[in-house]
Amino acid sequence: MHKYWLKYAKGENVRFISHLDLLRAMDRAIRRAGVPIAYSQGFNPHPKLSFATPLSVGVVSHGDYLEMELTEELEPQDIMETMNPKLPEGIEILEMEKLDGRKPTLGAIVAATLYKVEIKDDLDNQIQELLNEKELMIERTNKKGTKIIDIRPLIYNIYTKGNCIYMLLATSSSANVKPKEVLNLLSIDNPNIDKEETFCRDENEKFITPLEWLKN
Amino acid sequence: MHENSYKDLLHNVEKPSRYSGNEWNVVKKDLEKIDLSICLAFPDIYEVAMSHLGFKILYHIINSRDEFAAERVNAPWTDFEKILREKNMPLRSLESQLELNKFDLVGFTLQYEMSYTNILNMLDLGHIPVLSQDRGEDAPLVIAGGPCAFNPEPLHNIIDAFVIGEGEEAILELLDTVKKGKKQGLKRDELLRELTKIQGVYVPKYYQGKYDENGVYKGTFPTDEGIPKTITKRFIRDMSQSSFPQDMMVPYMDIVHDRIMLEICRGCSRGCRFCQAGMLYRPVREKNLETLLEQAEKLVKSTGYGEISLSSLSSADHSQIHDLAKGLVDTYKDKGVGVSLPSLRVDSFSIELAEMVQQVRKTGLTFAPEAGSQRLRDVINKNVTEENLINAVSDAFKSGWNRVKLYFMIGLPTETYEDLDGIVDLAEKVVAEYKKHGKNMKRFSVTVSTSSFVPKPHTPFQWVPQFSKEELVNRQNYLKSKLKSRYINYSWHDVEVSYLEAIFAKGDRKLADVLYTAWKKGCKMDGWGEHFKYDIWLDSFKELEVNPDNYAYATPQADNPLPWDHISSGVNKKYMALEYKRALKEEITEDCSFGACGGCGACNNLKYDVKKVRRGQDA
Ligand code: SF4
Repeated sequence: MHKYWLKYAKGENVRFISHLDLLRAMDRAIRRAGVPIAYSQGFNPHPKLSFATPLSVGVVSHGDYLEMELTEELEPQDIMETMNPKLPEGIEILEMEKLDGRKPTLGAIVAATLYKVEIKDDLDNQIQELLNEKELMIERTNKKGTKIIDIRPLIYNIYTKGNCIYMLLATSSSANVKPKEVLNLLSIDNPNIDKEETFCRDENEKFITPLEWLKN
Repeated sequence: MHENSYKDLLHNVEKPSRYSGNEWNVVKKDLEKIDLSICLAFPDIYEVAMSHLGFKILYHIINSRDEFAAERVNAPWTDFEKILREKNMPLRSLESQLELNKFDLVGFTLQYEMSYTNILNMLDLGHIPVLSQDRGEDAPLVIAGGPCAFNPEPLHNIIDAFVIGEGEEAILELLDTVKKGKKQGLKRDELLRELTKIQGVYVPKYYQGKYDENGVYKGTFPTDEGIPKTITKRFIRDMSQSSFPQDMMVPYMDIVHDRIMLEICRGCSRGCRFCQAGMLYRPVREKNLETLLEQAEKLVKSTGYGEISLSSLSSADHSQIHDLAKGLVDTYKDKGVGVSLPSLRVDSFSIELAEMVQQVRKTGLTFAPEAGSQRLRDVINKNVTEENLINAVSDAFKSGWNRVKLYFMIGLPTETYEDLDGIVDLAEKVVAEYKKHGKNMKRFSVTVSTSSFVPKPHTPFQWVPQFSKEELVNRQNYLKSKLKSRYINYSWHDVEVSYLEAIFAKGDRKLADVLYTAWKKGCKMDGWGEHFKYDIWLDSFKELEVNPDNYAYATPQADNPLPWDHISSGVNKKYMALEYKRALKEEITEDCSFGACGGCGACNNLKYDVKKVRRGQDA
């Protein structure tokens, strides 16, 4: 089996499709392109594709990652060239690397996500105040009930550039913060969020992209 | 400019991709550069619309012409409608996000009566006057087609022009006429009049009902010279040659039928007497093997779907079905593409086919004996015997299937409680058959599902009154009390919905006002249980002094004019009357493409030879 990691974008046109929709779209594009994807065994075989992080409905992404397993070894460049024309407008593979040797799953190494949101007002002071806080307690409700947690340690950075605010937030299976949770604290109600890049950490705890991590 | 006009609204709706379009194979044209635009409107939600093959066929056929653009719109779910109304934003097309009222035409597809209120609602949301008479020169022409167009009268004041019969035959001709008319600067009325010259087009404003001095209906007649008396359906002569788009759209979200729908035949010649589709699409036509294999290949390439469904009213009846299914399975089994058969006959041959296509997964099998006793099956001309059914399930169990669904109708003409006992009996025999095979009972189940018979226009049962709601409920309860086996599940349909369906199926022009009133009072999405507001419907009938029982329970005589007599499916009314008589005598009529011609008139009226179909070549 031959594993690849690829970086892809989910554009404005497909902002509102869900994680599962994207998975289906990829599966069909792979079949249209004739890329020799590996299928799981069993009654209901599904293509061996796994996403680094789930994608949210309503979010545009410029840097998401997925892992793909093929039955034949192909050049990453060739795969991109056959697949991109077969993907719907708005979904695009940007970069791709083949894996050598054993590697952890993508999901296991992802640590943070950089988000971008357009803002109208100057928010530098509020952001500074927020970052100065020792604790930021918020309520989270899920099926099991409501919890109060401190998200301050999960906010790695917030800054503004032009008329946009950028937020680097924890994204991993153990610690996670949603961009909306931070936007609420800043009283920003623009729902149009862009995911700029996904990061993992190198041995020096520096944030690098998964493909940089591979080449590292 | 319109690109993002929904963008900020969609963050708070359920399933926003219903409204965001941009699917694979979508066609987006520069609307400044085309001559004529039409918005194809499906009066139900996205998932239902995109599961409908005819809707997609029309979309691609129109778009294959450079000078035309076809876009799509569906009924918004109530959450999104609320937002649109609050913000007073018009309903827009999926492709260019163009407001509905900016199109040259809006074309509705009429698949079931319970979607009618959604048509009014979508026009209103699209800022188009709901009534034809209120539409000005700038408003789009509102057209409609599909099976319900064969009784257009309940929508006579909403729809400007109906296309009767197979849309792909007429639509380009219609658009060409509109294009030419617009160039000549024809007024709306003049244009509509031009449309009456196209075969199969019905423009209701040029017709009027006649009544005698006692108020008895005498038929609907043209109001002007030169308007055709009868509108005969459009019809495709050669299915293999007819355009079948190969670049079908592929939605993102999970829809009802999310697979390649390869249409293998159109129509069905079995002649079940309750079945409207069986009469409307006569004579039966099929595509030849070579064409089908070629279309399948192109569709797999262009869509990337992992499943091909061989669709038609009765797929196992295709004369080359065995070779077709085998050919497809052999070609695709190693490519992750499966084959499925949506409609199985109740016989062993069908199980053989199902066995061949479902090599790994044994999902449930559905059979439709329709009635519980041989007597009643003879009445409805469903040529299935108990032996057929038992042989079929026996073979299915042998091959590893564990779940069977049996589909019946209750309230069929002449039905007695003994016929209902027959349903119970059949279900129990299926259980006994499974036991005989000595398999694991834990995984086994039989679902008995009943719907209530709805008399439909253009069928031999168009003269039959529906059973009263109370009686239908009694019969459902009777079955509930009798279907006691722990292996049998029973499911049934709301009788109020079936009642309303019968009323509108057989409706006349008077119902148009009821429809309008009910919609004004808040009826919409009537096909969705949670939104069906029976009380409002009853109020609306009362307010307009229309007695709904007069439609559902009407007992017209064979020579009484019916509100849809001016629309012809090609099948003669005389033949339907004869079939009704034969039904009451429990006489069966042969399948005309295998056995003798029953003389329905379709071949003669439409100049076609059905026998050629089964010889593997189209007429
Ligand atoms: S005319 Fe005869 S052969 Fe043709 S559809 Fe009718 S019954 Fe069948």
